[in-house]
Amino acid sequence: MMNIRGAWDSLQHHVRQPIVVTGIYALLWCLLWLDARIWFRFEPWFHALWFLAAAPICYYWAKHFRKKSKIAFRAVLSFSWLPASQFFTSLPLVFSKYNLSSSIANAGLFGAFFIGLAWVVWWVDRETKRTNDSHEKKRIWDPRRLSAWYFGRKNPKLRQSVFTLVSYTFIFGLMLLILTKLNGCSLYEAPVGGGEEKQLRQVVKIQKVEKKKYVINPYSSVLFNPPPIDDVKLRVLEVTEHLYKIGQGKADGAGYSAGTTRGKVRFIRLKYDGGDWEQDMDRGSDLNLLTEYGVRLGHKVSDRPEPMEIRRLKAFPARKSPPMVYMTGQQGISVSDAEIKILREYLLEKHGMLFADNGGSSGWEGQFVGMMRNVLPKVEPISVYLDHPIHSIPYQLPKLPIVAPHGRSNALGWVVDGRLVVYYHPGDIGDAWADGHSGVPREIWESCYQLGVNIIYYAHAQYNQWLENTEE
Amino acid sequence: MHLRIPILIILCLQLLIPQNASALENFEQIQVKTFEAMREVERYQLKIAEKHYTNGNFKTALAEYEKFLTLYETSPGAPYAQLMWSHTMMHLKKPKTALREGFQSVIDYWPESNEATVAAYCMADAYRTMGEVKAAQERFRFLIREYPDHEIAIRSRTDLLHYARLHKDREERMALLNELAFTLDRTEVSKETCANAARESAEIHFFAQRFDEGKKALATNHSGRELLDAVFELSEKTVSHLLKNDKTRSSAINLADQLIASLEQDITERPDEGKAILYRAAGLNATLGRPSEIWKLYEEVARRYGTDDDLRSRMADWFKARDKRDEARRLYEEFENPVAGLKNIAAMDLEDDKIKEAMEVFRQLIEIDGDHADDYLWSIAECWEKLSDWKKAIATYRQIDRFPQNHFRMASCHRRIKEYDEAIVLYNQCKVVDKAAPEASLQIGFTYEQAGEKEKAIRTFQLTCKRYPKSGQASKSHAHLQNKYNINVTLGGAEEE
Repeated sequence: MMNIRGAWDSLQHHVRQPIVVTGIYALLWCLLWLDARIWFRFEPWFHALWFLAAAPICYYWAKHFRKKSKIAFRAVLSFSWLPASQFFTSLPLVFSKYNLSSSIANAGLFGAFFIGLAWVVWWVDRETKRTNDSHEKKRIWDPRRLSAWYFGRKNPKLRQSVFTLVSYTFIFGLMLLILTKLNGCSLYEAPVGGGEEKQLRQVVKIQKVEKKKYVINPYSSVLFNPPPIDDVKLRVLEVTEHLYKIGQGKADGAGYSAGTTRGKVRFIRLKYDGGDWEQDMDRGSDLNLLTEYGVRLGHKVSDRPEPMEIRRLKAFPARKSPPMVYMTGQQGISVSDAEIKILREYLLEKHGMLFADNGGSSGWEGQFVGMMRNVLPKVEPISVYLDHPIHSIPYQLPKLPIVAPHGRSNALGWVVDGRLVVYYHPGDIGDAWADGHSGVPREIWESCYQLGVNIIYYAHAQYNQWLENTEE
Repeated sequence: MHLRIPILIILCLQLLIPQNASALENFEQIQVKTFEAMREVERYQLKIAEKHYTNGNFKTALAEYEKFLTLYETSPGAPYAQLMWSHTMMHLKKPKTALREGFQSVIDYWPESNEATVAAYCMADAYRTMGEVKAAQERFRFLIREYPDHEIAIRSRTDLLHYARLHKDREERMALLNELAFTLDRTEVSKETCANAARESAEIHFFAQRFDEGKKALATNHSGRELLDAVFELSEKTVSHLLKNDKTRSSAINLADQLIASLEQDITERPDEGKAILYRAAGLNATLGRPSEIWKLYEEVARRYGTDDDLRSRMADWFKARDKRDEARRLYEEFENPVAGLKNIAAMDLEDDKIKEAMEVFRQLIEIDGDHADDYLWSIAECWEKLSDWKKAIATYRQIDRFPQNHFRMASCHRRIKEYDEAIVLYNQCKVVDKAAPEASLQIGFTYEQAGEKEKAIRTFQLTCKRYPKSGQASKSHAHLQNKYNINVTLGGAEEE
């Protein structure tokens, strides 16, 4: 009994040691970094808070080494750069400022590169001074020594500096490549529930205003003209009622039969090279649509949209991958062969759907159609007709809404086995979802929201049906 | 005076006859015997519906066909009305409704009618429109089996061929092509499809350097000189395509050798067509990059048939390709048709950046070819633009009767010399023409921008989005507002039916 208590006391004593606390934090920091980059289990505010928690630890060690060792003090300050830049990268995400976050992340990376370079230069210089540059006859390979054979006899110092810079850049780049290629394993689950695949009906309630009855004395000296009956205005109150629960299945609540209790409808925007994939994201475009979807259909939705690289689609296992991803932009689309393959696999094998919205140029349309020719070479695009379920459930769209016609005037679709796997919209509807709706008339932006809701619903319903049909 | 009266009568008659926007296609036409069997009142109702259909008023046409079906359910024209109702639905971008409630109804209610056969094809076509390829293919195959002699079997084969090409199904493609090119009888309906199939088949054979088989396929379409032309045109195209890739270069030379041998044989068999054959041989040598051979052939043409403008033009091109421009100019000066010669000289001067000399040539052209004075004046105005003499360019454009294009050009010149108000006045005049109005509005925005009047420019771009929301200029304004001014309130938005 005494031994156990002694061991417990000893453990408590050790855990309170700053070095142990720092080690535990470092371990958790690594896991959280992976989460912020790959898993996305926690919210951005949690990430920001946890990265901020590094501040007291860094402060403690900086204070600890300030008078003892200048080098250790500077090392602590240098290490502090990482959680600090991560904190400032996560913070804008809390307010949906994706562009700002991306800029800070780039600045943080550059900073880390130069801090590391400064340390390497300092270390090489110190080691060069330490090592004796004796005139040995055999070949010297040690890069710390200026007499190394590959530095030559002329300007060895300059060559050593260049060698250091190139080697450091190479190692840094390699590490970056490895870290950014990490895909991990992500999951997507839809919210559990049920419902019917029906159109939302609009119920119009008319409240008739009682006409005032005037008693008029025909012999009165005051002239009075009673209003004609047509001028009596009816107060029309339009109410949209959810007569049906929109979803698939028979479970309680609106949702999908193959979903899970922790599942949510998420909005994933694809990141790609060559253009402005993040267009309108800072103006709340994706978030507004997602919120509208949640409010209108009563499905559980995520509280933020997610930008995601194309290659990360590979990280989702089959049957747990996103039913729909979104892409927009107006500049170039540069997609590698590997990404084309991932997209093809996502669309065909993982039963996904790609929703593309032309953000501003007919050139983007050409590039998108060209990309699709590589992704699905044996499928030709069709003009998505107006009585397609995507245009009628849950909202009936008699016309296709457009904010600006960037190219064609009709939506394109790529159909595989009767399923619409790609939906391309030429008219920048993302602008209508954004805050302020870009000044477009109310009926147009309302129609744009309806189309967005229909597309998300169609993708999830198709995915749910596939899950149900292929259940083992 | 005597001629004017009949012309006026013809014009009056033309005005009286209703002009249809587009004629009905084969599958949209009613059979004569059905039309004969209908009552006058039924015919009238169908004509009304057809008028709206051909004018593109599909919603009204739909209502009229529905009216016909309600009023004259037992009429012999009912299956046709139902078929047309379905076609109208297709035009209204509702193929699913057309399929389920239209074409299927024709088959269910009038299975023995000609319209039912057409509806069977239209159903397959609707599946294709909806992107349901497998269902469409199955239907097309079924139609070929069930109605081998009907027009729909030909159409079905064409559609299946399209999918065979898309899916790179070589076997099915060749089988369909051979059937269309060699087996099927060429009727009035099928001849064009069969001819295209024969041409495609020949192209495949030429690519595989099977010259004789390709020629055999083309022989199903043409004979005599036409066959020679077709064989040469297609095989030369194939040679130039194969030459682009180093890996297929030897195949190109192999095919070219076979073609040259064939041309040599032709020249002995048809000496009266020798000139055309020699030019073909020269063209082939040009494709193969053998300039000396080309010149020899031109000399032979000159020796046998004498020199004319066509040969001079070809020789001048040969000189120009070798950078011997003086010789080319000399040949153009020798042209029997001075207008054509001077046009070529002017074009050459422009290529050489001799703008003033080119203008002089255009002035000569105005004197000798007054009918096309506007074209030459336009070229002179463009020359002034190249010389950055904007005032003279404006003055020249003003002389040309080509509204609104000349106003756009004049406005552009005014902008170059910073006369923004004048440019805006001209653009506003262009707005009178409906088609030019969006572009004029957009250009007014850019003019304000150049003039430094940022607010007016933004307002004009927004107005372009608002007034012409379905135009390409709205798209440009929208993107410009976002990219240049970071303004997201673009005021656009429309709905496409």
